[in-house]
Amino acid sequence: MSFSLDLVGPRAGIAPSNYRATAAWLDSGERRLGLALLLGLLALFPFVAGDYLVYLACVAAMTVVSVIGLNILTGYTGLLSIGHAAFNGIGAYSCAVATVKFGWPFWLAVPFGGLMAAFAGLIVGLPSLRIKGLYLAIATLAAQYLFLFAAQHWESVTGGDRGFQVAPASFFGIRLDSDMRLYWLIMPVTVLMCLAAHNLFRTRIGRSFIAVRERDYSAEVLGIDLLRTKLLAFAIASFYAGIAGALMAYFFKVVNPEQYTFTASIFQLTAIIVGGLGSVLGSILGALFMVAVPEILKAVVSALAGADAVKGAIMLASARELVFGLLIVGFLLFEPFGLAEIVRRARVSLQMWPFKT
Amino acid sequence: MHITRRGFNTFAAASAVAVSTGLPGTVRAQATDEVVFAATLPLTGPFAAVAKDQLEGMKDYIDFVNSKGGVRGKKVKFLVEDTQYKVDQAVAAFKKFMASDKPVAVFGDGTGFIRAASQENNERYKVLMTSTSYASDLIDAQKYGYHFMSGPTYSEAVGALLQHIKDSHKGGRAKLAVIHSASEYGRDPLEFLKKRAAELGIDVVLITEMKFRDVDVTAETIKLRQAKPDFTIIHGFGGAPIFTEVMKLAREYKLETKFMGTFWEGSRTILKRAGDAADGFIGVSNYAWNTAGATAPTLKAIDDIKRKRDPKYDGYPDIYYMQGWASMMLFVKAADDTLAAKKALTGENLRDALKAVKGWDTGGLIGAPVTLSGYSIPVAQVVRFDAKADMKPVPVSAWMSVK
Amino acid sequence: MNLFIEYSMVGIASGGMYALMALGFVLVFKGTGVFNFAQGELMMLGAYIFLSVNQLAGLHWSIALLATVLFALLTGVLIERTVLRALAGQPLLSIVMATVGLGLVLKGAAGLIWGQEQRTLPELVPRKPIFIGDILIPGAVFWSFVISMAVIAACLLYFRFTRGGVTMRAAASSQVNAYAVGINVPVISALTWGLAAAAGGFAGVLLAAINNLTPHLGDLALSVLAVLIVGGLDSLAGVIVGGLIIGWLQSMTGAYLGGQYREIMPFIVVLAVLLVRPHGLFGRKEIERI
Repeated sequence: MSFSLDLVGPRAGIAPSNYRATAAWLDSGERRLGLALLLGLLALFPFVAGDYLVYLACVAAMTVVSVIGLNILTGYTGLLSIGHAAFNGIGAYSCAVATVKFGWPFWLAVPFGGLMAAFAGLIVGLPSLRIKGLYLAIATLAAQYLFLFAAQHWESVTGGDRGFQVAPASFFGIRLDSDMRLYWLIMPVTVLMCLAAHNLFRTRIGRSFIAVRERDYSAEVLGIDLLRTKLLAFAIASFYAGIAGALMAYFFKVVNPEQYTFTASIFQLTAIIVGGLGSVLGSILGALFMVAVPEILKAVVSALAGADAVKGAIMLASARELVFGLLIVGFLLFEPFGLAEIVRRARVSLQMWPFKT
Repeated sequence: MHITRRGFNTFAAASAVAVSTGLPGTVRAQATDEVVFAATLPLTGPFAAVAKDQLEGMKDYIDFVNSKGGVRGKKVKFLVEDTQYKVDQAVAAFKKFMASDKPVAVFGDGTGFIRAASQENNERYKVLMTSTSYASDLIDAQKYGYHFMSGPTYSEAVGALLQHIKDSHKGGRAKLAVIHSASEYGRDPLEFLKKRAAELGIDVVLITEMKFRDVDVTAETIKLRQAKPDFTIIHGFGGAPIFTEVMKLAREYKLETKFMGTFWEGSRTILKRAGDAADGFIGVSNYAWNTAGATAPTLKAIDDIKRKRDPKYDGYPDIYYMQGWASMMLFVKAADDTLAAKKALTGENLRDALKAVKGWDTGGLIGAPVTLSGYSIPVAQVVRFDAKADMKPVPVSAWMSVK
Repeated sequence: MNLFIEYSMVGIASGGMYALMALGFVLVFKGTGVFNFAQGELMMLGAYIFLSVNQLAGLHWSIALLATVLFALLTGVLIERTVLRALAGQPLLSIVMATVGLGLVLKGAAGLIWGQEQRTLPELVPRKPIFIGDILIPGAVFWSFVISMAVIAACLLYFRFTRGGVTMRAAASSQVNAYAVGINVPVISALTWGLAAAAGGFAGVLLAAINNLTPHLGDLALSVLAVLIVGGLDSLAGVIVGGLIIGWLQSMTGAYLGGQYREIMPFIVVLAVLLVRPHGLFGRKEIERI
């Protein structure tokens, strides 16, 4: 598979001569400036963008968190999961139960959602001791359906089909009841989770994930405890999914089974393919792209369909499936490392300019 | 395959540019000479067939109002978005409406959407709502204070059916089976049904659930045969014709049970699929079912519009169409009353106007004067579908209160 | 007891349809080692082709069925040639997602071409119920069982006794050896996909004739996951046994536990089998455990 392409990997033309230099980041003025600029832009965004863009930004941010989790599991560790949305669901339900039934504040309920999902991830990860590859993927798919079944029928805990309605979080007396206010909860969490993921792959644990992906036998020979590493990957990935799910609970204000289906899992897999496997930057780009594509399609299709709203809407659902499918197949065939690779090439040629790479 | 890597990259890059520039961020101010309504509808997905007819009804009514000069001189602007019957899609569509055209009233695609959107709507957007859902707990002045139902709840409809069983069954206690869809919508009236059946002395011998789509419904039919019910209530399938397969199989099994359904099952189009097996199907209709030769103004208007579009129209529009029409009538009524009282067109004023509606004559669409102080219209009529007459519904009860 | 027998008979009979739906998955997996998530969409496509030829072009159903099978065959070959071959040797994720992507493409295209309305196919199999003593089996269920078994048996015979079938088996068991004895492996791979797609298209027509047809028909295909896992992903005989077992189990759970458990039972079976005997009852045991 790929060499890991990261948010700030070693740049072209610079040959690090020791491990410290390899692992370093924010090692130059430009990089610090870049990060500061990005954070500044994110902070300014809600003041210049309209309501709907803020809404989309929140959706995109939560998708980013969840997709990073999936990428840690599938892209970095090489364990294919077709049931990631179930962990969003476990996070969302745990958060909802904590809020609605125990009356916990959001700063306890959100991490609780993450931890419960991580715990569930450990359990689902256990079969990875015995099975791998396609069979493991099928096991995660079965787990997804088990989760949906439990959500629908274990009514005393999950509220059945009806699910939960989650009251707005409150922060020092400020009710986080609008998208604008929730942005200030969701975006900082997202930034933190991105940085944490980026750092993870500068540590021994993160690198052992990659080793397991590249060749599990060799990894074991190198002294990596395979089961522990795989379980850890499942736990961390599910933790990310759980945090995203908990945020979704506050954001959509309702938690019910139909939000966390097979389709949602496939959506996230598509995001890591489009963005780039084994790359934090790829996860971010992929999630943003996948949230944006339907919006663009909507504009295009409604322009094409003209006044006939019904025809437009019906076309849109099919067009979205068609375009998602084409994106998956197209990226797999022509750009298997995704948007992150395109960005990397662009960056390299920029740095090397005027020389050709 | 002649797509090169570079070609594909260009495509991806173009998409990325479109991402950064093409997003709809503009906020349009509402023109003062128009009133904006919007609908989130499941135009694709399991209820696509229902939504299509609903939308036709909505649009026909809006066009009708506009052709008469609008609501007190203001033209009605009507927007629609597809939701695929998914809550998050519906919420997104709603927010998009609120960020751009700012409608004062929004039609919701189902129970999930109303639940999800209500809190924010109560506190922030404050728009009038009605929906596809007749879920029993959605009439709640506290939680869903902006949501009005254009008919009785599912529980009330089930109550009407149980009463019909009680009145029409002769000889001993009636045995009843229930087949409901595996969804919230399907399970909604079950608690009430059990309680009410016990009160009326009806034995519930079977309650079983089914998917909207399934490979095989034989097992359910065998259960029916085993339970030997006098009546079978089918609830929660709406436009999903799988329940007609159960009816067909039951007839092949020579099963003598009377099939019944709540509002959404009572669709002529769907029942026709079952052919003779659906003969005698009992439904609960919230709206009038025949426009041919009607003199009441609303029914006459529908008849004219339908006949103009389809010369072969036989006077029986589908109930989905009528539901769409009725939903928009609620909105227009609210706007009309608000303007008549010389108040601003805000969601709050629209809601207050509807709450104050008493003894409203819907022009024949609903066969009794409508009062909305209870957030719903608990009147309905029990009808029987007649296979010999092309599955036309015939009333078997008068318009009655089902509260 | 009588009731038990009745549920068993109906369950086993409906398992025939599961087996037919699972057949296409097994053909592709056996031949090329790919689990084809687009198999359900190939079924859906087949049903639409049938509908178009039969109802829109007004041709006899037998011609429509032939056209469906041929068209599906070509689609299968085309998919193998354009996508799967280009991805040969890529990691599992890429191949799985490629088939998922293809499924979405087919579903979206079908939606754009034929719309979202529910279509009704003509009743291909007689509805008249079959009586075995006091037990009644619905006609559609009974005849789909017979047809499914016939199709799968034909496949088994083909692989056992014809040159083409033996060649396919050879290519499936070892590509290198197959090359060595002069078998054109790429052509065989393409044909395998074609055959699987044709089986899918045929199953789709039968399924849509019983159900109704929308672009979402393919979603039903995932319900045979349990059949595949129980029977083994690469065993034709396993498909039959798995189909019948799952059909029977579903009927039993539906009858004695309640309708809602029918849904989940296959997935519980999947998990249980994966943990105890991952290669299924008849599959080849080559799962690495590490």
